[in-house]
Amino acid sequence: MKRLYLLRAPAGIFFLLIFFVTVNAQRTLTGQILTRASAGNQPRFNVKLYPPKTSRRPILVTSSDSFGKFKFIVAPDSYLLELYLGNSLVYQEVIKLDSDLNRKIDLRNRQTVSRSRSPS
Amino acid sequence: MDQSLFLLCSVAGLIMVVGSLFLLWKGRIVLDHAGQQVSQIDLPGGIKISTQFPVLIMFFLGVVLLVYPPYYFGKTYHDANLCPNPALHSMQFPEMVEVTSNVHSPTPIDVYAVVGWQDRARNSVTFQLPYKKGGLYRLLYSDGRGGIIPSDPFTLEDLKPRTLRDIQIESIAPETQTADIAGVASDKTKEANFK
Repeated sequence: MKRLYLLRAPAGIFFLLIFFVTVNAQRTLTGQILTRASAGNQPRFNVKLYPPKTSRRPILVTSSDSFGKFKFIVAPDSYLLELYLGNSLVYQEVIKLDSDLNRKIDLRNRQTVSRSRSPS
Repeated sequence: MDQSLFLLCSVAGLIMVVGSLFLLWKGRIVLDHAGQQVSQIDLPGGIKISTQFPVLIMFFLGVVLLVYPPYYFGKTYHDANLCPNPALHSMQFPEMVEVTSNVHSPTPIDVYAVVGWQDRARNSVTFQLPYKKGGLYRLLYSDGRGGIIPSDPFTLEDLKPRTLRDIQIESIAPETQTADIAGVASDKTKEANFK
């Protein structure tokens, strides 16, 4: 019984180690989309992140906030990042995530007319 | 009735027709124009036929024997395959029907024809879709607040069940912005390993 009690400490350390390794295996991809709109009034983009198709991992989808920011926490790998405004593709890039990455995507030079429609 | 009997009947009729013509050609039998020889044939049922041209009797009997089996089979086949609309045989289902409409809007509008949907899905979704070989299909994901994300287009090459790639949706942007940022064409080389 005493031996089992003594084994608790190494087991706890082992599980902590596994936990940190697992957490470390994740990479954070943050991004900011820049348009001519003012901060806090940026258009909302749909952001799609495709893992390699051989990985069979799901496609991740999120939307950018009113500051144009978005975030994914994923396993280190190559990804296809796509931005959609409505249904139209406005940006496409292959990203290699070896470490945490913060990507600024500048769409100001691609903007034709700056106008917005208020939500109904 | 046994088909071999009909075949035998037809072959006998053919022999009679060809034989009578052959014998006429060889001069072994003649058409009695003078009418000196009257031939009488006794048929079952007390039917008696008298003719001055027995060769004609043989010829027409041969024609009847030759023609009746194909006629019988043709009629049977026709009766067994009655179809209210023979045009259906040349169709490939599902037949596509053209539906047209007009959209009046100051901004471009995306229009979809939807044949199946599943509301408030959380895990698995299953659809029974009409199969059109080579046709383009898409799934549209909506959060019910106006935002829509379309899947990549896909085709169905056969009738086997198809499983699409999983998608994990954190949030969908509401459809409040006009497309004032020029779109880009998808780059197939970039997509090669991902789609």
